Amino acid sequence: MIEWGLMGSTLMEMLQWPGIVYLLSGSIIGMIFGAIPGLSGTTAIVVLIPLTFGMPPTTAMLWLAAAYGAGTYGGAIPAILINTPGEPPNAATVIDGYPMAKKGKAGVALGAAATASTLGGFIGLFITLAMIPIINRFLMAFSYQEFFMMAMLGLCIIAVVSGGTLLKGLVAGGLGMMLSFVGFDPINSVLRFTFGIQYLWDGIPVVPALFGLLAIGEAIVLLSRGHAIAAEHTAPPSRRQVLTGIRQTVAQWFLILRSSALGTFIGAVPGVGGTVAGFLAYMQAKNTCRNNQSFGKGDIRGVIASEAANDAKEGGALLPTLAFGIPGSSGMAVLLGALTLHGLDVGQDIFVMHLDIVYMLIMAGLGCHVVAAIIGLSLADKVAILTRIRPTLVGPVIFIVCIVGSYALHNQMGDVFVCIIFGLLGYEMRKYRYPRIALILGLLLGNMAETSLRQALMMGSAWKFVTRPISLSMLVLIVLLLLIPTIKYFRKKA
Amino acid sequence: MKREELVFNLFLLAVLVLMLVVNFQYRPRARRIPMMTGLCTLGLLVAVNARTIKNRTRDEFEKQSKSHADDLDAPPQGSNAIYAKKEAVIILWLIGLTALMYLIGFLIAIPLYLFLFLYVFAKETWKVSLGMSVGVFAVIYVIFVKILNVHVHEGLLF
Amino acid sequence: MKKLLSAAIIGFFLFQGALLWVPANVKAADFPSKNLEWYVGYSPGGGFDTYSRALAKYMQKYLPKGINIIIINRPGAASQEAATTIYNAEPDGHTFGIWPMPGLYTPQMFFSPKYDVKKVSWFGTVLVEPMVVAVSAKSPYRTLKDLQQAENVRVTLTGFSGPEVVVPITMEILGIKAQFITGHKGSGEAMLAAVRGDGDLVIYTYGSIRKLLKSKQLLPVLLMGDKTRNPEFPDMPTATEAGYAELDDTVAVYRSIGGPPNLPSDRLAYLRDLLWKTMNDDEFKAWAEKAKRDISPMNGEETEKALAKVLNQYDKYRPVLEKYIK
Repeated sequence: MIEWGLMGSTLMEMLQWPGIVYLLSGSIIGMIFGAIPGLSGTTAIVVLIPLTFGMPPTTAMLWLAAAYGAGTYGGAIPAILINTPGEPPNAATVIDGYPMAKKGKAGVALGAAATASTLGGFIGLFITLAMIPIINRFLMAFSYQEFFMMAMLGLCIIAVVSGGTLLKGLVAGGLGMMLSFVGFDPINSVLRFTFGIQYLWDGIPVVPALFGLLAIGEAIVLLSRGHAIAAEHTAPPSRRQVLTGIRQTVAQWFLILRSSALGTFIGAVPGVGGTVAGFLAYMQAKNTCRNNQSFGKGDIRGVIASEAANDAKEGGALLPTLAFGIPGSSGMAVLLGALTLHGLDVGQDIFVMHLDIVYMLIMAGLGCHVVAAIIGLSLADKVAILTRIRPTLVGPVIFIVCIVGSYALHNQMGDVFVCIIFGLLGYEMRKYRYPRIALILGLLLGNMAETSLRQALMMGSAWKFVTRPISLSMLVLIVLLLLIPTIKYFRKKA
Repeated sequence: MKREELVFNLFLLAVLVLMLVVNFQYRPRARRIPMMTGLCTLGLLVAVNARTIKNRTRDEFEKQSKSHADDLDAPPQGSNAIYAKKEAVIILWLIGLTALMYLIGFLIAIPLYLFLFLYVFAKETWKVSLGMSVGVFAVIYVIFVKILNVHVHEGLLF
Repeated sequence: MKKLLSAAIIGFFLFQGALLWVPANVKAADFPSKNLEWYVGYSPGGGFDTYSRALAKYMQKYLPKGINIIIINRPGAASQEAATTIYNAEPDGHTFGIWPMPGLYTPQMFFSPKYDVKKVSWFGTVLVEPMVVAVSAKSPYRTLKDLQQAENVRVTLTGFSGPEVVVPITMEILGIKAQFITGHKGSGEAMLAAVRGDGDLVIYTYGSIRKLLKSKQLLPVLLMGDKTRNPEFPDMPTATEAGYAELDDTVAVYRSIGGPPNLPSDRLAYLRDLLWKTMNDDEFKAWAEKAKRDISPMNGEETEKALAKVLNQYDKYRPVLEKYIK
């Protein structure tokens, strides 16, 4: 099963010279890339790959995996500080992270995010190791019906995050879904809603839209209202805040366990998209924790759940990547390319022929989280000062970072325009209390819901939705999620 | 306040209607789901509009805002009317930034915009404006151009 | 202090100007005179990207000092974005890229993209990849005969753009009654669907499908685009052997490298030679061996001829494609 001897020697290799150098530098690079909106852990690997050409494969993989793993943590930093997820999966962290920053608790949030990320990453990798023998059966169980149910679950989150403004939340979600239909209809290859613009053939790019809605909209608010991110009478960030964050997170160990497990499973199924992981974990947290009225207003548990799931999902994504050569996420796709470039063949053999590489990837994944946590936590209170700087300095920089970040994705000015347009939209939505997260969810999931539904119906009858066990349980879950609050609402009225 | 909101709602309505109309020309299978989604959203939007019109008093709205003051999507504090002008100015600056970038390219537009914005709009001092422009430009240049080799848009005029 | 400040400001703006002015002023007498830009129409990590990066790496030594090759990923519309960028770039030889052929010809047949593959300046091809018809281990079919006799064979694929446009043509030539299940996000997901049993048959390049063939989750039925049997799967017949020589002429994925039309002939010759040297470079070949990436180099002229032949076939089968694409 697990070869402890090999595991141990891999650990030694990582901690000794020169392994430790690569671990440290990889993690730091990954964190920085993750923290800059527009860049991500994936971008970090792309940049590092050419530099790994001369290295032995284990060292190369150590460096790359460290950078990639640290990236997911890095993305939480701007999510909390400036309402901008560093990478799309961090979007769910924004929901409670930014309100915490507004209340002057950025230090706590950062501490929580670092801790949750690390623990989530660890748990994710352990679950992954345990799942290796059953990976085949696991992947075979997810078909179109399950994908559709997952998309529907994701869309239910719209109701969860809309709180009191349910109607507007649904409108925003519906609008997001309509926007997700722009581009090629995946089933018929029919172009929809592109109005003759070739740029739109691939649909509305999510990342620039995300930046626009969340970051630029927020920057406009900051500039027009003239106050810093953190409200005026709040305490300045301090070491103590960070420690509080760590303490409170560790106290929520069961939540972390649940969220990480959820994240790992979602990450292991290719085609779902890891961005959903954070949101689903968030929803799970809100529905299972007591006193959940404060979710959405700066409840630390929201940050914990989202970040734990986020980092766990990458562990899960390793499974189909290594087992089938089918990448579990876009970052994995690049990692796969790197493995190939170094002459490593993936597929079932890798667990036999190159077990050392597998173990190194896992070790690096664990190690980078520790490094990122240490660095992140020590710098958290300094970085949180950002929330106290006057808006006239922060605002324009946010504009520029978002625009350059959007452009950097695919070298297209079109992405910049999308960013700006969604920025204006986001600002207007903010003014009239249309939940932006609802629109984002619609944008992310609309297409997937439609595609999997049509595929499921092409394949078989609609009965399959209820006869397949996983699909059925998800359907029951959805019904419960929607029914219970409705009953409660009517009970209150009576 | 209410009028502005209605304008925004009408804008959303127009977009939805446009999409629904365009949707009609696609093949039946391709248009089914967008149609259902679009119609539902349309219905909901009409309901929202009806609600907004019904909420006669502004107090009602303020009361709602208070209870959600800490939300991610809480409306910005203060009456919108007061900030309308400032808002418009900022948006114009933003559009100006985009136009600038498009026309003269990123490398010049970024420091130029930062400097102008900080000095003219924010009324910061010489030193701060220059320092920020050069600083931010340098960081972006190093990261995006040197390390990532991002092919920076060079602008139409140069 | 004030003087220093003014000097700094002036210096700053001069620096800005210099940045923009200098490159434009370099006389284009030498070639190459600046970095070469190699566009890839897919995100990093995929097959086209991997080949491009490897070639770029080993091409460096044949280039003058100081000239680098920069890989620019420009995913979008199944490589059409990149194609458009390359095609409309300044034809000075500094911009080119890798073209998935004949996949990029389909949009040209039915829509009006801003490029014309028949006018591209081809430098060469690094791989002509055969495609494999494979059935799922969970399906009841094992041989070509089984498939041809079946009432409804479910084929999973992403859609009818790119290399998969070859699927309906293949089904037509082989006389298989197919039901196409599209909408998968990538070849990986489509193959996984077949492995799961949601589909019976897939058609993909040998390189993409190899791992699943080896693990016996997909079983090979027919090899197309290669006249000799594959040593790793000696029981898989070639299309010609099975009596469908036409398939061998039509079906294959060409990973060809090309640039904008109307390149000056001396530069075209230089680039063709550069690519040819790189593809035959020992280190490159060693990499390909180690990475288990097949290569079958073709030079510029051979590429032109081969592609012309394939495109003719596509024109011939246009009516079949019309059923699925418009």
